Amino acid sequence: MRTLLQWSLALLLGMALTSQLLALDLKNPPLNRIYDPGRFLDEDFTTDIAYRISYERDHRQFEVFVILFEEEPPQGAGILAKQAGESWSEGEYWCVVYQVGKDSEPDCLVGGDLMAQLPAEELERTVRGARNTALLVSTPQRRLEEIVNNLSDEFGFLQVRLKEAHEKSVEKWENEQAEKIKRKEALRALAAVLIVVFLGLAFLAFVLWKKHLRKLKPMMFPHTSPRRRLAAPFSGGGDVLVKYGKRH
Amino acid sequence: MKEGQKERKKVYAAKRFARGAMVCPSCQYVLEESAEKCPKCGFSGQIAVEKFPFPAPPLTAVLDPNGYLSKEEAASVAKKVRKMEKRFPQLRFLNCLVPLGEDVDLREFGFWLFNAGQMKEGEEAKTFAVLFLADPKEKTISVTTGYGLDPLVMDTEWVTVCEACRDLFFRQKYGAGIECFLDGAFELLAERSLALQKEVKR
Repeated sequence: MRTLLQWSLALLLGMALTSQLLALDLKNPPLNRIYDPGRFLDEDFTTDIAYRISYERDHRQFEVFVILFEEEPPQGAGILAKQAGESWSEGEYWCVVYQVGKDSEPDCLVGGDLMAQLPAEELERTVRGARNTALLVSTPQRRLEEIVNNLSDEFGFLQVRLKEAHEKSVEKWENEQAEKIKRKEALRALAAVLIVVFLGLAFLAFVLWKKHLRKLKPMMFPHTSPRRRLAAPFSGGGDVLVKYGKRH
Repeated sequence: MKEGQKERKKVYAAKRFARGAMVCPSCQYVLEESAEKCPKCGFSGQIAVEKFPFPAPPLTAVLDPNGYLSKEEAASVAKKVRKMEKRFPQLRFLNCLVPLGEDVDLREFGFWLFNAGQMKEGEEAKTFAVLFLADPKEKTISVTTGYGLDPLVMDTEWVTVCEACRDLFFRQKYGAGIECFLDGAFELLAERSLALQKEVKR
């Protein structure tokens, strides 16, 4: 009974130590963004993978994390890896390559706002493709490196592609705006022409109205005091005489 | 409206508008106002009555005792006169085609006819009447106006209107000639009426 108790205590102590070792600091990403408490990766692989991770982060803003669990965590490796990715990353787009144990098959998951802009099916296909291609490699460490490389190759240009797409959409929008402005200007020019034509017609109508006004309304003459002469009551005559005896 | 009528009835001094000199229709001597007879030749209304000792015919839109105008021409002239009298409610247009002798001056005849002839509208209508005379025999045209138009339109202006139509008279197209005169008179009188209305408003 005492022996059993001693064994139980030893087991509990061991589990506690193990869980301490497995504990991930979700607030801060690990050094080089590789969590490898069991030291499964050789120094060379660690350096290569860390270099690629660093390159992707610095040049393409793609955040890659590697988590090598010594054992399956109680909440599940996938869930913990996702939590870690969401916590450590800036949130734009990231991936976590994780593996449980030294020789098991690595897995991966992706996330972030930019990733969410990709169609879900395409995303799933790309992630699976990157993983399955890596699995063709025989050694576990190389597989891990391969999957990091594949994911980096697939998603490294995502931001660039999205930027390009954004720039294209902006350019398209700008072109549309320019078209709209052109159309507006054309309409304004047309309106100006119409206004000028209308004013011209109005002026012409006014001139014609003015010119023909006298034909429309009765015309009067002022009454004057008569210049009576030659004892004539109504007309003093005048000097109007035109001869038409020959052709003019 | 009443004010407008009053304004129209207002009588202005003829001097204000007078454009041309008054001349004797017989010798063309320049007369002073209210001369009872021409100081040069002695012509006057009395002399004119003696010169033409027969009753003056009534003054109408178309006076053509010798039938120089066809019925259609006469009707066309009368129609034009009616139109013009609508545009110029004060005016009356009288057109006379009469062959006179070689020794008769159309200006003297016009002077006599205008003063002696009767108008069915009454004597008042003569104030603004325009008598157009054509002598197909002597091939002359003349215009005589009442005292109302006398200071407003110069003789030379009537001469210009007549000259524009003399070719039609030469070709013996008397109806067209009279209508030509009426058209020219319309232009002249319309221009003058508008100008005078502006002048009166000032």
